[in-house]
Parts: sequence; C-alpha cells; structure tokens
Amino acid sequence: MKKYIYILILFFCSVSFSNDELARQYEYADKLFNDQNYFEAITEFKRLSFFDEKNVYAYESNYKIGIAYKYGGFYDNSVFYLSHAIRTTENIDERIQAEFQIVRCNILRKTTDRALQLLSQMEKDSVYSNHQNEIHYWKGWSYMISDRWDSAAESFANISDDHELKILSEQVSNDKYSVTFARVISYILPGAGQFYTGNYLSGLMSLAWNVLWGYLTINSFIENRAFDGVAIGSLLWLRFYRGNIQNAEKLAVQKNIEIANTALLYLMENYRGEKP
Amino acid sequence: MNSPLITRFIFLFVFLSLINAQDKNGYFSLENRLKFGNFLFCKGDYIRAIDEYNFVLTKQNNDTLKFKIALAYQKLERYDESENSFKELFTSQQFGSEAKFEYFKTLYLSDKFETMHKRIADDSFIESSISDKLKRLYNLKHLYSSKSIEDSSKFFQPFNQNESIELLKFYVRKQNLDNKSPALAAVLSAIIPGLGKVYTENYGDGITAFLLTGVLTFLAIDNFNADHNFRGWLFTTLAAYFYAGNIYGSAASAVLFNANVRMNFDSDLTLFLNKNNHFSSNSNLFCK
Amino acid sequence: MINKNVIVIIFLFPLLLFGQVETNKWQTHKIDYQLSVPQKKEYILNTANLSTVVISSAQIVYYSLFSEYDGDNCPFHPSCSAFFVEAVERTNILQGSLMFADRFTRDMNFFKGYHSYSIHSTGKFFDPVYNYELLPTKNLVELKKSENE
Repeated sequence: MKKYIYILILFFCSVSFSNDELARQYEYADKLFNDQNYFEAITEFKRLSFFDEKNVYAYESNYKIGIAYKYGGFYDNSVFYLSHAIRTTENIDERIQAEFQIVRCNILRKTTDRALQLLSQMEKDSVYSNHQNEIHYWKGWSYMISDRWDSAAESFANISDDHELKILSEQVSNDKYSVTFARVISYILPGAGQFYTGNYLSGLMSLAWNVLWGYLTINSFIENRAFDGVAIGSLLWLRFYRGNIQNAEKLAVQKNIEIANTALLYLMENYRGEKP
Repeated sequence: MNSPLITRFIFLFVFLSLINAQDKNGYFSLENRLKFGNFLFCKGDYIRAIDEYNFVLTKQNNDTLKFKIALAYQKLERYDESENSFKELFTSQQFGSEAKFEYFKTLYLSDKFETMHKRIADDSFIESSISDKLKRLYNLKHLYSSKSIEDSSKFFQPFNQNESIELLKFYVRKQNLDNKSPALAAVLSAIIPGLGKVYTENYGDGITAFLLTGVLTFLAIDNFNADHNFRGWLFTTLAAYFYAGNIYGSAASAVLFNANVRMNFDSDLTLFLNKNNHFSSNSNLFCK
Repeated sequence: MINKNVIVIIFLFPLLLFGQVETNKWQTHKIDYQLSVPQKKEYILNTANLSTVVISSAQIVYYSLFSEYDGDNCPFHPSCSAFFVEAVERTNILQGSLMFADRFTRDMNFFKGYHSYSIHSTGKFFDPVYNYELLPTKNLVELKKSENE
C-alpha cells in the first residue's frame, strides 16, 4: 500500500516538474517585464502563450503583453491584447483590472472620448460598485488630458474634497483666461483683451494702430474728404479693429495652453500618484 | 533491502518525468524556436520572427528561413536589409529564382527604378520561370517612370489577355498624358496677361491677373495724363512687376499642372494595382 | 486636384489589417500629456547672404509691427510674407520676387481654392514654395509625394 502512495507522490512531483517549464517561462518573461525590458518581455510572453496549450497563463500573458505595449506607446496593440485578456478569464477582479487598463490606454492615446464612454458604462454597471473611486479618478484624468479642467475638478471632488488633483484642476480652471471675455472687451476697447491676458506690449500696439486709423478716418470726414475717409476706414481701420479682436483671442488661447501645459508637465514629472 | 528500493524510486521518478516532459529541450530548442518563429511570421509579427529565425540560422543552414527573413524585411519596409538578404540567396538551389524575383520586387517597392533597370539589363542569368513575372513588374514600373513608354507590342507581351485589357486604359492614358507646355503658357501670358493661366485651366487666376495688370496700367496712364509723374512711374513699375510675375507664374502653373496630372495617374495606378493584387505576397506560401 | 481619399485609403488599409506594426526593436516610450502648441511665427534673422538678411529683417519688422495686429487675412499656408522669404531663400531675389507677385495675384483671386489647393492642417490652403520653383516634373512629383506621407 505504502509503495503505491510513494509512486503516486512521485508521479505528481514529476507532473509539476514538466509544468515547471511553463512556470519557468512565465517567471523569465515576468522578470524581463519587471526589468522594464518590454520588447523582450512581449516576445517571451508570446512564446509562453504559444506553448501554453491549456491556457494556464492565458490571462497573465495577454494582460502583460498589453501593458508592455502600453509602455512602448503601441496603444492599439495594447487595447487588442487587453481585450483578449478579458475574454480569457472568468475572474471578475482580473476583468476589471484589464478594463481599467483599456481606459488608461485610451487616455494615453488621447482618445479621451472613448475613455469617458467606457467609464460611464462602468459607472452604471453594478459589478463596479466597489470601484467607484477609481472610475472617478480616471474620469478626472480623461478630462485633464482633454483640457476640460472644471469637469476634472468635479470628478476628483467625488473622491474627496481635498484630493490633490481636485485642487490642481480647480486652480488651473481658475487661472485660465476667458477667451470670450478677452474678445468682448477688445470689441469695446481695442487692446483691452491683450491687457487682460498680460500681453501689455501687444495691447499697446493694437490700441495705437486703432487710434491712428480711427483718427485719420474721422479727420478725413471732418475735412470733407469722404472718399479718403471711407477708404481708410474700411481698408485699414476695420482691418486692424478686426485684427485686434483676433489677436486678443489668439493670445488668450495661447496663455490657456501654457497654463494647462504647466499643470500637465507637473503631472508628468512630479506627480506621485497613479498615472495612466 | 533499502538501497534497491531507493534506486527503483529514482529510476521511476526519472521515467515518469520523461513521460510528462516531452519537450526535454524546452521552449528554446531549435525545433520550438522554429515553430514559434513560424507562428509569429504568420501573425505578422515579423520583427520577432526574424529574431527566432536568426537564432536557428546560427545552428543550421536553412535557405527557407533566410528567404523568409528577407520577405519579413520587405514587409517591414526595411528595403535595404531586404535587398541584401535576397541577394545572398541568388545562388540558392531552392530559392534562387524566387529570391531574384523578390529582390527586383523590393526594388520596385522601394521606388528604385534606375537600379532595377540597370540590374535587369546586366543580369544574363534570369531564369525563364521568372523572366515573364519580372518583365511584368518592370513594365508596370515603367508606367510610373517619367521615361517615354515602350511600344505596345513589347509592353503587353508578358501579360495575359485579361490583364492586357485592364492595363490598356492605363497604357493609353500614360501615352496621352495631358501635358501643358510651360514655355507656351509664358508666351501666352506675355501676349495677353492671364492667358497662360487660362491655358493651364486656372481660369480665376487668369482673370485676376488680367484685371490686376489692366487696372495698374490704366492708373499709370491716367496719372501720366494728369501730369502726376511720380504716381505714373510708381504704377508703371507695379504694372510691369505684376506683368512679369504673371508670365513667371503661368510657366510655374504649367509645371504644377503636369505634376498634378502625374500624381493623379500614379495614385490611380497604385489603387488599381493594390485592388487587383497583381503581385500577391509570398507569405501566403508559408501561411495558410 | 489630387484625390486625397485615394491616398488615405491606401495608407489606412494596412493599418486596419495589422494594427500597429513594430518595425524595429523599441525602448520605453516617453509619455507626453501636454497639449500641442500652435506654431508661432518665427523671428529669425537669416544671414546666409545679403538679400536674405534684408528680406528676413524686413519680415521681422513686418511681423512685429503689422502682421500681429491686422488680423488673420492670408488664406494660404505658408502666409504671403513667409512665402516671399522662403522663395528668396530657396531661389534668388529676382525669382523670389516674381514668385511673390504670382502668389499675390492668386491671393486676389476671389474664386481660389475650388480646385488647385489641398487643405493644410491649419485649415488653410496649402500652397508651398516648391510648387512654383519651376522644378523638373519628376522632382516636383517626388516632393509632393513625400509631403503626402
């Protein structure tokens, strides 16, 4: 009797010995992955899933290939392998993990509309009830990347009122200039929009041109040179008046991009929390 | 009593392990690397397939793999590497003529028409099995080139009847490409400002040029008549400047017209060739 | 005039089939969250030779005094002044001036754009200098093809 038990034990030992090959391959690929050697890691994970006929490691290899592609900037491939990973697993947690990674790929790919669409679907799904904070977090990121900072602030506020990124987003949306306001005040007083955005030299130049052409136009009418007045008024004054409004708008947009980029640069280089 | 039992156990253990672990050499055995490489190749992951094949080639000589590597480089549009890899296979028994054809196809794909022309002329060892295929390739490339086209009997000789009918319309179109002469455009614009632009089918630009030079000339004459000499000369200079500019512009617009005609022809031809897949890829040979 | 759709289809087709193809071994991709900054006008003094010095300094004065403030009037990319400077740089002062006169005339045309020009990413008519350099057809076709890619 003892003999048979021994033999049985030995048999299982040897089975695990052959499965070792898969496990060893997984460890090897995973080591490459952890060493951030992502190109090679993809090769080895692909090798693993090629020989893994029983799909023991199907989820892990597809998931990690997806993540490695993400680090390489191949977001389409990444989404492809992550969706594949979802299809190979029944485990809810694993699926959710891959779903979130797909969202993050979309954020990085700057297809934030798609990311937001996926997140809203997840929000309605009861499966994700324990993950609401994570959903809000990535919604906030999608908004930040697509330059919609007040929506971002709202999303982060759902997590906590003093969330670091909520404060940042609020600050950015407060710091931003209103493009419409810059336009409107430039309609009223040429150069005012440029002053509002802090471009004093441009403001002065715009004002000066408009004063010059305005003076010449009005002066022509006063001196009864109506033709000159119409010519200068329509060809030059109007041109510079319109130009002033466009200039104010352009400078406001430029300033806003600068402000947003400062914040995004901070996120890139100094932010310590989880990034897509 | 004990020691034979242990020996027996050890023997059993090794035996059972062998049964379970068929791939004794593991996933990195030559055979397995080859299998994996083939899988990658057919999945279109050429860059990794090349790595696997190259490893196998360090251990054994295999022309199929060399050929597939060259094909993979061609697919990746790394044409220089592809060319060199195909060149090495020219002497291969199994793939010699195929490699030669693929080599010329690489030249075709990388737009090296001159080299292709020269090599085909120099090479006296082109097997008859590929010479027709090659001629077809060459003649098609000819349609893209700016050289004048061969006469029709020579051009259509390597194609079968259906292909000839399809290609006839491109051949005729190529022969009668609607070209405008820059010199004629310039002369026309010198006679009547803007006429050259009308000739190159830029009607709006032609009328504008005519009006612009006309108004400036009128202003010049008007000012001279009113004894405003300075203004007269100013407008004369401007009129002369735009007159000259229009002559130059008409010639330039004829050149541009010709370039656009060529571009349209080339893109139509490319679309036609892609759709009809006259040179369906060789990877079908290796993948189902 | 060039059928853009054709070109788009040709380039999209392989993408749809194979996803993103890795053509080389790659390293980790540097992620950039930042928004793309619209191209600013260049204020560079070109000291290649006398005529370019004159032209480019005139351009700087023109930009900083007038162009910024009289609105966005040029329907072309590159803008008329940039076209002039580039034309002089690529050819010579005489040919450049003639090219500029021609550009100016085309700018005056009310019905422009219905056939000859493709649309640049800035939303303007793309009208590059090399189109008017009187290059041999073959070279011009090559330049135009590389621009499409």
